Amino acid sequence: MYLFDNNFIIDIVSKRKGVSEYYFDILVYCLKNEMACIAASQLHNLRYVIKRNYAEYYEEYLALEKRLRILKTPSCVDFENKMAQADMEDYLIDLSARAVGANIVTLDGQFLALSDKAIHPEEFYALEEKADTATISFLDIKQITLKHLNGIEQAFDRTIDSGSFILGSEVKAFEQEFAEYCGTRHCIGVGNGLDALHLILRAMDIGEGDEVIVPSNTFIATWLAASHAGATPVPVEPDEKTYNIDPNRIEAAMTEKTKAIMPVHLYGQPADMDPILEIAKRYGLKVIEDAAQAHGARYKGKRTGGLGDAAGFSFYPGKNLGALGDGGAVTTNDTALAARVRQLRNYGSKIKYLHELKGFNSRLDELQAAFLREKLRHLDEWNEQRRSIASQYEKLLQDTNIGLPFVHADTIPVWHLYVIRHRERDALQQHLLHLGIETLIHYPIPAHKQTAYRESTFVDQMLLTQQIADSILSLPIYPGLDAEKIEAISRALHNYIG
Amino acid sequence: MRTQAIKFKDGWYIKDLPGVSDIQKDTIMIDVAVAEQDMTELHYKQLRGLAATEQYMVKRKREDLRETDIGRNLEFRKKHGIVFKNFSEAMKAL
Repeated sequence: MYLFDNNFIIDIVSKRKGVSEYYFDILVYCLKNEMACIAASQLHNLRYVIKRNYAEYYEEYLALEKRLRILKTPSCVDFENKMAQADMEDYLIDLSARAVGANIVTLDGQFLALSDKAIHPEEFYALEEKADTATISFLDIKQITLKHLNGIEQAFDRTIDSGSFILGSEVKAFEQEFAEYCGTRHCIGVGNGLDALHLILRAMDIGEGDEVIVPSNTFIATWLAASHAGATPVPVEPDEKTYNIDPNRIEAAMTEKTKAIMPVHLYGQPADMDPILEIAKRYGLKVIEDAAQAHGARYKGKRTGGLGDAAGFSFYPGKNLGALGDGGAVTTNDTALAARVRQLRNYGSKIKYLHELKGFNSRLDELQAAFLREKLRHLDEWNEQRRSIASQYEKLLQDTNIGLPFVHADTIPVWHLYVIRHRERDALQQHLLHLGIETLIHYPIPAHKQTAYRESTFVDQMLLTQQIADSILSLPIYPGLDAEKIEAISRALHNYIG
Repeated sequence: MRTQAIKFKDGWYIKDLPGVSDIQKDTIMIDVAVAEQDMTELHYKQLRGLAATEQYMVKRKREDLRETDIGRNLEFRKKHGIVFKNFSEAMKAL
């Protein structure tokens, strides 16, 4: 991001000879790429100077002002600071730039000398060229967060002002809003995604001596939830096309101890729920969705979170709906279950200092709830962007020997991850890395091969899961990943396969 | 001709005097017309406006004017599809 000094803006807007003709492209480029900022402290002086001295350009300035990102002016003013003593206006601009890691574009020699954040317009071009050829990161959470900084700042201020930091009005409001979003009767904010699943199992009285059907191809949290409840996770291999649990293999894994099935909507694509629900109904089992990667995804038109008896969500920062720290939620239509989860998350207590259950401390943080409320407003737009990126990858990578994701006809995925397959996965990953493209593997070691599950009797089984783990590669996918980068990634993949 | 004069601590600054580069002398004669309301005490907000303008001029005096590589600029504009002649044109199109 670039923050523009007052004089730079005034010179460009007033068409000052030299400065404006040489450097207006910098401002235009930054506007086009949503990187152009000014600090709130600059607003009144800019308006005054332009209105008083360049009245003919005032309307144009106001139009520009609307397109600029307005950054906060931090209150942590150090009056002894050299810059504060030299020029308070510049110092405040410098503080604003530091708060978001922006550079300041200025021609002011004193500013350039005193602030390491200040760059001369002549330096801008080289800096952007360097950024152009820089690494394509797997995920850019900072960029997504900065884009919505105004709302996040408001959420922060609202929480501080409320003076209520545990299970306050923000958690309550988020629970209502997220339940509404998922189309469920209840939402209970908890500490993280693992706790969400764990607390559901506890609330269902599933524990010691019970078995829970889990996918073999998943992040370990699904298994850990069952283990933490005291139950045994029993893995079932995936459908090779969707990577989600294969409903046709579930019955073979069941015993009289089986109490629940925990399908995961892996990579953002809902599991094939109807056959799973049918098996559960036949055997009287509970169905718990692990929706940690599928906020907003749909199965037969219905959003995840309300497809089974209960669902666990994670708001880990990298998720489609991510907090600025840990967070999770349980959604359900079962009022009694919701009440029990609510109690379990809060030391087993409904009324302060009265503990009916041996509960846990796993409450969604008030501040995180406030941030999530702001972010929830953008979730559909972000999911749409992810769908667009996935369709661009599909278009650019078709007719290659790369295994592309398969979308089940009944689902609308939200593309938490875009996972491809290739028999030379490791070499392909290295090739991309050399070209500055970061990729990850979700997940390199299946749960049954982890040391934590060394007692697992499935070590030599789950061959399909192992094959998948050996050949999958997750490409960058996140809101803000531009077409140029998607093309660069696709080009790099084409280069490898020849 | 008509233009604005801005008061500084040590004198008045006359901005954008048309044809200023053609004037060979250090001193020129001007007629000053002061409006009645400007003779009275200025309101705080007006003073702030003057101060902001003064700050603009102070910063201009501190300018670091380096040589510009026009070729590089044109290349940058071409690469990023900036086809506008000036900022006004860009603002209309953006």
